[in-house]
Amino acid sequence: MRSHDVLVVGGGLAGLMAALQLDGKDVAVATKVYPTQSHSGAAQGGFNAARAQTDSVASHILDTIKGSDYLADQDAVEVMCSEAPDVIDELDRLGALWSRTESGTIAQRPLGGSSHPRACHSADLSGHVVLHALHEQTRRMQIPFYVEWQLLDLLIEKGAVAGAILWNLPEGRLEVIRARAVILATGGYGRVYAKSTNGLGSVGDGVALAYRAGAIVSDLEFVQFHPTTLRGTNILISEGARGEGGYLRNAAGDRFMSRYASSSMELAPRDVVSRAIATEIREGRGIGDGYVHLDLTHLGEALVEERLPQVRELARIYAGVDAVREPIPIEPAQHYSMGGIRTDTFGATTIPGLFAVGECANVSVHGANRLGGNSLLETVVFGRRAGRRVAEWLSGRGPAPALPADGAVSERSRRAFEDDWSARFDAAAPMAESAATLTHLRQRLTALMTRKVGVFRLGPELEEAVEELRGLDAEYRSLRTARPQGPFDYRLMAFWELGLLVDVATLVARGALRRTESRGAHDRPDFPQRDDERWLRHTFAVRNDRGPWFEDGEVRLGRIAPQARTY
Amino acid sequence: MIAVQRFDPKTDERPVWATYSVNVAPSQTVLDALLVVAETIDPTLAFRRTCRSGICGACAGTINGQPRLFCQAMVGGMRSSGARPASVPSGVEAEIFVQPLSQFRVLKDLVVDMGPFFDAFERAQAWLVPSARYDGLMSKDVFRRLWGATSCVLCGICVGRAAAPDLSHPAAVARVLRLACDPRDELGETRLALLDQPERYDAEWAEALKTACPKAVDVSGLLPGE
Repeated sequence: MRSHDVLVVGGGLAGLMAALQLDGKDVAVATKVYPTQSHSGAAQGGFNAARAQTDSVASHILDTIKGSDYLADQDAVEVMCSEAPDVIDELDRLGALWSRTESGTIAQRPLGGSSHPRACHSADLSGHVVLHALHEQTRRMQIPFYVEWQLLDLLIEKGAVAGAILWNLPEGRLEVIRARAVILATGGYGRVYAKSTNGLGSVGDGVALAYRAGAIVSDLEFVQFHPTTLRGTNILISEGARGEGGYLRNAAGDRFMSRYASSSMELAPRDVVSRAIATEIREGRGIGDGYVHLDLTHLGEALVEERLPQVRELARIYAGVDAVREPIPIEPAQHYSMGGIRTDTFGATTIPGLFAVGECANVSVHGANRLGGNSLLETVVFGRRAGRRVAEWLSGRGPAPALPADGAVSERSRRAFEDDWSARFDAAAPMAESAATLTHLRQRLTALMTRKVGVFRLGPELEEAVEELRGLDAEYRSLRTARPQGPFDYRLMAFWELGLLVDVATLVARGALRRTESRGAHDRPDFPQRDDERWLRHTFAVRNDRGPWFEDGEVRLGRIAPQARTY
Repeated sequence: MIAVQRFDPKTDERPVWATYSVNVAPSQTVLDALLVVAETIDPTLAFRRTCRSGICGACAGTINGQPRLFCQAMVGGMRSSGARPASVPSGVEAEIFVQPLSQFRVLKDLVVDMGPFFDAFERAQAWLVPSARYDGLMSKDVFRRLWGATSCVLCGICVGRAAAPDLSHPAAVARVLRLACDPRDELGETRLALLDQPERYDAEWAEALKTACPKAVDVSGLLPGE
């Protein structure tokens, strides 16, 4: 049985940043795709940090809390914004190639909901550039990787984490890695939606498995819909496009944002802009079968080439549009998972030894709506903090994690898992038929979420969604699939993923039904007001015998009192 | 119709071709077509995929004899440029022929062993060694020179198309050239010693790499002795 002091699961920005803090320690990274294929690489806009003379950490904190519709925990926001300027310098020293100003300092651009140009960026390839830089550093440190290993379950012994069970995709077999600490950095759950900018791997695996292991997960009903995704494919077009001066126009050519956010216009936060677009479309002012235009034609070719090269390329390849000369057809789609595994500001979850960082975590710095430029920042700040905390443990400073019991307990857990796992296989299951059934179930689930748990959420539709998910869960549980087929059995992974998606979708829909108010990205037309009296609370969910149990969680307020939120 | 070269190490001695009839629009990608096959016809078809938008580099392969990212190849365009690869046996009829990336060992179907490609980066020590002398400033000119080499997605398509005998993989050479010009790197130009014949990497080579690369990686501003 393999063992490491620390197992990081996930090779995106948060996981790599955590692993880098453990240089010289016995740390390994398990990742279901090659690290540079992680979805962090698709992030475009940038990393917020108050670095300019005219800007301040206090202003970054204020913008973030207002952006969160006051649901963020203010101590966590303060940590993130305070550490931001320094973490940008650290990434610079480690090789991230930031765009520059004329004087050679790191350039910053405006993104939605920020009162200053605050996003440090690498043109519009910010996630890609930093991901590759951090990956190079993990290679320099010779950190071992288990590549194309999918997390299947967490080992829990005496209430503490003791390692993980994974599927080794290249070899086609179960593996156990014992560890004193496990850091989950598995990304978001966007793929519970049919229309999403997310990569195919963003299935909420870490969130679902931490929940199944008994950790508190929180605020899952808060799901961000990005205003500008290519119509049809929902490929992301960076908020940087509006940050650099792009306009949104409806069928009449009007810059309709004037009616929704008269001072911020296109640079209002994403929840506001996505609702505005959805409203334009719903009220008949959309174009064609329901989209609007992102217009960059007034920016000029030189600016687009220098600052938005990827946006231009994506529009050309996937929409057949040269953004310098024609407007881009766009529609809102799921983009980011605000909710996740509940953690403190060091990434510690409610299970001893288990940490969570990045999009799979809910620390909570984004509350009910995340600002552009804050998610990449969250990955590196909290990845670094969790990695350092675990490094301190291992160096004998601070409270040490409980050492897992002898391997026999893990061995029993493994066998118990294997029994459950094997019970889902049936040598007689017809391959093509079960694939079609599985695909059909998955499409029903994701379409349901987009239709009934999307930008607007009505009580009766949420009730239907919860009911339908209950049925889907039962159908999924009754499904049997063919035995594992050796190396690179993606069929098996698809089968496994659907179970995760059902769990996460249920938590999202039930949280949304329960929250009878409108706050940030959670919009209930039947409860149009924010209700601080009842709902300035996190949604905590834990697993019990009959499914999730929901409770209110305290929001850690601070100096900033909730106010009306206008832009 | 789409024809896919398949190989299962458990049962096949050599690759076999399979054809599938899939209903996808001309504006959809070959990746979309493969996903339809896996989701509705044969779930055992193995191919790597993640981002769908040309930034993760996972879905490289060969379409109608040319190496491409599946997610950047439109079905319509591929149909009309339907050059049938010579290696396709007679009797296999389709508009689009999909094979694994050549130059790599096939592990299953379209999944190849990228190990040797990634190893080339280790041999090249292709990681920045932070320099204590760096003061946090970088001119726009330096940024622009380095920028051309940053779009590499580690897909492996350049292998065999822009010859690089030193480290055997042009993407690794490109990274060495970039690091050698990076003012933040402790090793700087001494990295060129890793290349047997740095002078080989001239403007012509840079052009060949840029043409071969699906992300148009451009090292023309980073060439030694230019």
